[in-house]
Amino acid sequence: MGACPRGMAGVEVLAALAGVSFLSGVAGSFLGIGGGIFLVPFLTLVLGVQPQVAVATSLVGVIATSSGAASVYVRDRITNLRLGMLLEIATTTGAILGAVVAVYLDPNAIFLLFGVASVFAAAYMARTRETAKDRAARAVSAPETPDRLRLSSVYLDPEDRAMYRYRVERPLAGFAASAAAGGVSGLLGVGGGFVKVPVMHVLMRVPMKAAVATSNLMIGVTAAASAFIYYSRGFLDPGLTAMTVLGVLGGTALGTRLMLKTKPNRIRVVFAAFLLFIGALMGLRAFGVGVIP
Amino acid sequence: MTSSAGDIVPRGLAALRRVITAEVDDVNRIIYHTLRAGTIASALLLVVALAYIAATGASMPSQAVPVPDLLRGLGGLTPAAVLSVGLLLLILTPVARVAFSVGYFAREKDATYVLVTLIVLANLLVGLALGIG
Repeated sequence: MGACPRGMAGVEVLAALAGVSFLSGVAGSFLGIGGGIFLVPFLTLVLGVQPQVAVATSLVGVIATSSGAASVYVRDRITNLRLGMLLEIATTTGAILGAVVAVYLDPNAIFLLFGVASVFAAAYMARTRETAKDRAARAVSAPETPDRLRLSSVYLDPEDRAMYRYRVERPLAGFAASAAAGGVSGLLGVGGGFVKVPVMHVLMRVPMKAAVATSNLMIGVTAAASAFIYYSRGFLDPGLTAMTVLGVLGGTALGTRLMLKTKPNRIRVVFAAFLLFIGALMGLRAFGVGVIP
Repeated sequence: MTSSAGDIVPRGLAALRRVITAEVDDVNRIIYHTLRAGTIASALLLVVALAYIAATGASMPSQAVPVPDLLRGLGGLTPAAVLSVGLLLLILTPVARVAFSVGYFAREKDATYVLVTLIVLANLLVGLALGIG
């Protein structure tokens, strides 16, 4: 499997890949996304790697982002584990269905649909300010609602050294939206973190940091099944992937530290900007400009 | 430096963390150790294999060793086999995380979440079966 044209797989190429993977690990762990959106275009457009090998490399990079950052977020109790596991039912089911029906749908229409959806989500993310009053109000109202699924949680924000209690609202709507997020993963071969974070934060009213950490945990499971399939089919280039993994793991060490110390509102604004970028990429793809395969 | 939100506890971060840990001492510990052990073991294997390749000037393998060959030991201790095992460890770590969570919730007699994690595990296996078949 000639992943790289001969002579290109030199030290400079591997160093550049490790550098981009590092940045992808920083951005991925900071925003609760996988980072495939950065890795795949770099591998295909800059390094000239064939698309399937690039996707395989990127999927393993997504797992590295997830496991590397999740161990920090789970240790510090930022991740809402029950919520993550509940929504994983929706995302994995959606991913399977998405992969099955992908052949019957017009990919350009899907890209256009999700491009537009991303821009709308960006607008919502930019608007829903998470004020201190808002967070405190949520803390007070938390124990009063029946919570059979025990999704209510509490976390410590190291940035302002405060404990925040919250309950998870609209679990059913969130579950349905997560199934759609999983469907996107299956249809487009992406992790879907860019859908999960807005669903949890805007729809289910989960605090930004908990939404980022929970999405980060979930993307690993979605990517694992696909990565194993690519491995079995012989699309994994061990050298390229190993460099990617090591770069990403280094990046998550920095990204998690940044996320824990940043004000939630800043993370939200960066996320909104990222959604606009995704929307633009998908819009371009819908009209035939292939940055993402 | 105080904020008007949340339950402000004017103590060190470590003390606060203990408060949270006591309240949310859940399946967190098992998951944390699984993810950490998986990533560290994987990273070590990858570093060792890459260092060996760099030191001996061996050619960088362009394809991973298939799982059946790894199981039969055909790969031997080649850099390709060590890289492949390292990458497989990383890929299977999230699956192990789900499997261990099933065990945890079963011990806690939390039937709802035993069911939840079992469905996730089943979906993962269906995904694998669809991909291979």
